[in-house]
Amino acid sequence: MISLMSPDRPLSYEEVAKLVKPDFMEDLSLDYVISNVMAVREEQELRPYFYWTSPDFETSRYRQEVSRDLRDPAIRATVTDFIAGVTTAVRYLQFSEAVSISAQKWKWRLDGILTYYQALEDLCTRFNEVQPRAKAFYAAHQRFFEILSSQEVQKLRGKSQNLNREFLAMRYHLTINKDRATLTFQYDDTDYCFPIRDAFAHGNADPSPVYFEGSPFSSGMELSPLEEFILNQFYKNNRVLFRDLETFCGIRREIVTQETLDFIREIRFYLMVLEFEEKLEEKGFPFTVPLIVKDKELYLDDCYDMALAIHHAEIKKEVVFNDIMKANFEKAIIVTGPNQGGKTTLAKAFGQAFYLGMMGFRVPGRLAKLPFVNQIYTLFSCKNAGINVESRLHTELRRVQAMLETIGNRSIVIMNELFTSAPTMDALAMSRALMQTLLKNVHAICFCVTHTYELAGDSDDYVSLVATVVEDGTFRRTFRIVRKEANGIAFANSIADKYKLDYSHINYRIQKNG
Amino acid sequence: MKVHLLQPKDRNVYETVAPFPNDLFEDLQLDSILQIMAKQDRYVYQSCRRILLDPLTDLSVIQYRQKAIEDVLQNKKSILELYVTVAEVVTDLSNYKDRLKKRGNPSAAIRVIDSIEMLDILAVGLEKLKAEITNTYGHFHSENFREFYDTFLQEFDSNFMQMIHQKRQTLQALQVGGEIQISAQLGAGLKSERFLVNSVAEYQSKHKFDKIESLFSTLIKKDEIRINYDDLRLSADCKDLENAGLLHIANYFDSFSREIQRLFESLRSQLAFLYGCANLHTHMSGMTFPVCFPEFDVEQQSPMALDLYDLSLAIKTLRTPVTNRLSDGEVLLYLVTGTNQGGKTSFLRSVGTAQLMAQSGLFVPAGTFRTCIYRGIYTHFIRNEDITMTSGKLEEELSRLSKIIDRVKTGSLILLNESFATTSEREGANIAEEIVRAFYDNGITCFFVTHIYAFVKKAYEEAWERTQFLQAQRLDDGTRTFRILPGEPSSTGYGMELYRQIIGEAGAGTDREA
Repeated sequence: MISLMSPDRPLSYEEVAKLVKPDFMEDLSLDYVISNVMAVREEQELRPYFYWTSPDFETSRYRQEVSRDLRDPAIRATVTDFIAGVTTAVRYLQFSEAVSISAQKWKWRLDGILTYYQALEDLCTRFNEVQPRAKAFYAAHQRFFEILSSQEVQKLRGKSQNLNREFLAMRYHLTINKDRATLTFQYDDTDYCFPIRDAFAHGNADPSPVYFEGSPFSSGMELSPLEEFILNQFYKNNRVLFRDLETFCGIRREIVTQETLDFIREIRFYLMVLEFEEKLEEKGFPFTVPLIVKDKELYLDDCYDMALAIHHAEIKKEVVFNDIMKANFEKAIIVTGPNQGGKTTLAKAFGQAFYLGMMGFRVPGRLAKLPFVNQIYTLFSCKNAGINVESRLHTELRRVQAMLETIGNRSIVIMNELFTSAPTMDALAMSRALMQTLLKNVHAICFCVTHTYELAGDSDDYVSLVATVVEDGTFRRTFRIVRKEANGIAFANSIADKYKLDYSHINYRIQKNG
Repeated sequence: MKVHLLQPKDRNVYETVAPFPNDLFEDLQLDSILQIMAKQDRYVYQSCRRILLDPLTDLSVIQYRQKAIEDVLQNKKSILELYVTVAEVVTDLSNYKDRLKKRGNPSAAIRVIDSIEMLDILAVGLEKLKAEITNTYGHFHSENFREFYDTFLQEFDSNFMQMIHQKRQTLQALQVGGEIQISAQLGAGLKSERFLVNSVAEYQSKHKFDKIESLFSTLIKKDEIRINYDDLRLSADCKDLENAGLLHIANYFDSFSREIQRLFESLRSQLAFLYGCANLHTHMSGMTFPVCFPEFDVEQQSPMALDLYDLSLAIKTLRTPVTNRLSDGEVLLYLVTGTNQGGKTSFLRSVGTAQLMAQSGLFVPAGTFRTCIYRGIYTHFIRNEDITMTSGKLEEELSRLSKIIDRVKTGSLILLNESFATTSEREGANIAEEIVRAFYDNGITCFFVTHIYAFVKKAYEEAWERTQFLQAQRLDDGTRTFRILPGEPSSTGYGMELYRQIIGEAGAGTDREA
């Protein structure tokens, strides 16, 4: 079985549909983002794929290769055409089950068979030309080629094509005027419009006939009365052919396999995410392929919260990008600063990047290096858990406990304003204890937004990020969060910084323009 | 055919030189120049605005356009007549299309009539233009016009016009009630596809023999099958097919009509611009303003000019304002300081306007102008002469500058006017230095009119390379000459001058006594 999602443990769609939504999704606004990714109703069935995160480093690499290939326009066009071909085949086969005229039933089935194998063949031929590099596509190519080469399929296709050739040769002519219409089968097939085309093109028109676009009759699977009338005439004149068709197509066969359908769903999933990325890119939000590494160094340049980006792009409001950086030896990132300064947004951006990274997709930002993780935990203050202060703290602590029971050593933990309902010094003590556990026992990567700024000073191994405000007495938020010492309330120079108008940034920006 | 009066045919991809055309329009006060070009014609105004604000970077293209403009300056009367002829045709067309729009969704038969009428209007238009072109045939000498004239006369020769007339007749006959033959074949699911119109003929109804014929038809012609119109479902299908055939033919006429419309529209826009150039030139020479065609030297690093002046100011005041010179030299940074209302802004405009007009292929407001080609032209003017110290303003300014930095490339021209004046001098000086240095290091030419004395003084004392210091001249008695001359920057300029002017000599006298 071939899969674009996993090199060694593929899941059928039935199994995928049973996957459970990870807990962190809601806190990181990923629910909102995913609903936006699935803009169309038909895409809803793809939702459970978002819950299929990579369990190991190799799987995330395997998926990154697929994403990369699909960003190549030639490969993308190839698989898009493949999906279209198979979808058409499936539709034809469904028509075959549904129509009432028996000749039509067998012809729809014949067309389904032809279209399906043609799609497989086209995919293989074009893969030879466009050369995808992902292991997954290589395997798919092999598998489809094997199917096409089997004697059974070759025989089936040969017979189908022979039958179809005879149908293609059946042309009819209708002469219509206001008194009557007559049907004949023996006139020349001239294109009346060619001389017109040719005259307008000053004698340079292409002489091949140009057919109408679309059918003047209904576009569904049924025949219109006139089409049925014409079919009956053909039927009378070609009884042997129609009998052959029935004999051949009357046999029940499995044509489009579940394997192909699952494969197509997986491609659609990748393409859907890719289209979403491109939509945001068009609006000025960058995406980058993260370098996924085994050590713990990380950087995320110009990252942003996708939920905010989607929302602000709509109301044409600016979104501030931020950089996060952590050396290998550094253990935790502590974010402090005034309320409404963009801290929670940053926490979401950070978590989203890890999530997409472990899905094998590009991440929101201009440049990214991310340590491999297979578990994401979010501990966000439960502001909605009730008015009772004590019950809030309880809920939070219970969640901490649940996390500690399952956490492994390839995890990130994103904490946001934990323990706000406890007295400040208690909150600090609790936070310190929790950090100790997470860093010493499980070596998790911690990202902690907190109002207890003293936490940032606890260790040289902590990265301190501070949300800045405008230094003009108005304390307006810049939504820029910069690396600096935490001091309770923090100010940074200011607007120029917000627009990245210092020498080195300008230099970098201009050089990028070419 | 395509019209190439303003740029050669093989050049279609251009760099965007002015990504912020609206800023240029406002900052350089182009409105008064465009008013002169347009002579009350809104369409001319818009065309000139669009083309003027889309300057070129390719020397050969600029020179190509210069040829057209030079030619037009010799033929001001002919260009007017040509423009008027083309504008009339386009107006007729759009009036007709407006009428169609109001009428709503027409039937197939009516749409065929529309196609015929549209064709008629265009045929008349082509004849008119042909007459105009024949009349002015010997007047123009540039390759731009010669080639257009010759191609036009060749493509729309009398044979071609004859042909249009003939085809139009057939279409009309068909619409009145002809006989149409259409062929098709059995495709997927035995539904008909690949419809083709085989023939169209005039049809004489044979009512008298109808009854007899219908009695014997099946006996006489065995291969012809009669479709019974009494079956309303069949006759409706036939009608649909007939309409589809008619529309299929009409589409060819429509696409030809669209092509001719595009020809007229593109011609109109190019002629409008050239007509605007002629008007501007007439005005400038009538007012005895200095005017010349620029010379380009791609090796040169900065512009050289004699008798350079602010054209929009000249137009408003109806006389040539004080002119300035720009001396040759490898200057990248011009720092302009000095007396308020001393002509600094006008000087800046004169540089920007001349460069913009030069790169759009026009003549320029100067006695002599030799310049290089910039890859980008940007203005950053303080929006509102009233300088109040609000950080909201600084933010607005910086966000505008930041947008410029997102686009600006090496080899661009930036005109800064009182930038960063909305903050304290010290902060302004800091920001200014960072930004200007980054421009300088990236080979961006910058004219900077500024009051930030701390910054200019520093540049002067450190004797920055490739930097020229310019002053708004003020005579010893305080008279402003509006001349901008090289010299040591002085700190005067702000405030006191204006104070004297407004409060008057009485105030100054009191001052002296004290």
